[in-house]
Amino acid sequence: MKKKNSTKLFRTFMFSMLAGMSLYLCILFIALTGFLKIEDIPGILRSLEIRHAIKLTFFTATVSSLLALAVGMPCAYVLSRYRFRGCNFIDTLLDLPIVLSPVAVGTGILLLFQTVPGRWFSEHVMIVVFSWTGIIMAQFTVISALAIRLLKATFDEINPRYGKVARVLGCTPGMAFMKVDLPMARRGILSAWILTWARAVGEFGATVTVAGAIALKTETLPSSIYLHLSTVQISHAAFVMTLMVIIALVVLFLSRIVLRRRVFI
Amino acid sequence: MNLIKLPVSVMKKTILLFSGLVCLMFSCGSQESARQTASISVFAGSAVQLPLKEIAEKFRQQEGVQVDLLFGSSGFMLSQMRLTSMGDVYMPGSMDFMLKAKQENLVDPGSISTVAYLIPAINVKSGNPKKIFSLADLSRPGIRVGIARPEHVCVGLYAVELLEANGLLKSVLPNIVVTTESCAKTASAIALSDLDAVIGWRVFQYWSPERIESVLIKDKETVPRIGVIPIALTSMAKDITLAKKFIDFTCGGDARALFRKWGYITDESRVRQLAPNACIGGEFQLPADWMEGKTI
Repeated sequence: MKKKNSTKLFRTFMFSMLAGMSLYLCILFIALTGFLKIEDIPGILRSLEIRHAIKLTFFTATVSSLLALAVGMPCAYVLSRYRFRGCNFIDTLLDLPIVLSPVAVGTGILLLFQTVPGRWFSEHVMIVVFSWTGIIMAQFTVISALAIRLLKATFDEINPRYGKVARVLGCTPGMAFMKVDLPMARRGILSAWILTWARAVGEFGATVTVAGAIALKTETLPSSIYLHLSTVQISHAAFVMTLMVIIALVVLFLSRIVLRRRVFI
Repeated sequence: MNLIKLPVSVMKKTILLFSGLVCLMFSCGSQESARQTASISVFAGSAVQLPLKEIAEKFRQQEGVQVDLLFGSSGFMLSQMRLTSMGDVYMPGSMDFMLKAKQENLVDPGSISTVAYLIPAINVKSGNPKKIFSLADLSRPGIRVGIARPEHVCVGLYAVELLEANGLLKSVLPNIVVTTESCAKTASAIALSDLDAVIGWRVFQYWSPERIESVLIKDKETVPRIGVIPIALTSMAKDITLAKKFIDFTCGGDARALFRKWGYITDESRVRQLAPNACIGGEFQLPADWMEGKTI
């Protein structure tokens, strides 16, 4: 009887926490819509600036999250499977972008392009500062640490013996990675991609420091909110926030259903 | 797990892959630079965002030149200019930051011009629910007041000077519950928070008339100083002719009309009507002990 009560209490506590958190986020979202002005919406939607900001936000977030996965996967695999000199130092170093504030990361990138190699890169290869490539670089720098952390946790959960068996059966290390580790890590990789993409969509501090918020050039949805709030255009800012919430909810929900085939992350 | 040594072949392939990525970035970069057209970049304070966007669009239509506008707090914009060595025109929200830019040789001193004037005022919520009509009303018990941080934000400096000049700093200080970190956030604070008043610019009312009302300083109380919005050519401007053209355009009749549309004052005579005893521009030294040990 006592055990049954304790189980009930435990479940009630856990579920009430979940319900409370969900309710809090719903209230937060509903509060936003209270500041919307219906008559402003058609004008904002017709605005070239907002349409460009939507496209730019989703394009840069997709590119930077894919880049973070492409770079993060080998990094996470090495950190998960091998021990080498300086392993702990590198592991800590890769966590830095998570600890540092995005503004500090953005300032670091700006300072990087003031060094001799940085200036040479800007003059001969491509302009990063105050351009859309700067947005991708800022987002990539901020989210790559998150991608590596998530992917490392995924590879850590896969028993290395599967790869070793594949090697015994004649696979090269590359083949074993492609045919054994990668398919087994599929769910973790998709989950990492979704989370890093979502984080990139909302990235602001580093982006605005490196790329600014130039209309029709580097203005993303978060910087659009900032610009509207700067001039007390509350209903405009609330609309952009609502738009971001709706698009992000739809994309995250669909990606969970389509990509994970209704498997919970 | 064992300590491993990477085989030479793996290292060679890694270097090859990395070189391939660098080459790809080279090609993307050259395509990007080929697409560039004539443009100038303007680093501006958020306080001028609304009129400047329209001015830049008008300039683009007339001259066919793309104007990239970068907005933020005047100090942040100055830092970005210094860190990136980029920007053709600097337009902060007040002369204080222009003087800083001049001290650091970031602007051409000969090109500094005045575009508009800013008058300090009390900003309250629309309808003035707490019936605040003067600076003295800010010292009433229970009134919650906000100002910008005077150490970093010019409008905060103007607020302290305004209170001190009218002998009200000591009595209003207990009611100051918030210091904001930018001019724009001072305006947002009165629009969005439970503050009863902020000391900001008269122009805030025109940014959001449905939420903000400006109460002008009048009768026995005086405005000691009027803010000016300056504009200048930066010392790292790439296309000086084009940048000067934009400055001339911004100081011209069409642009001034746009400033007036957003509630800014562009004529000194009008400033004199609203604040006859005030000096225009200049500096105010913040007293080191202005807070008298109070913490916010």
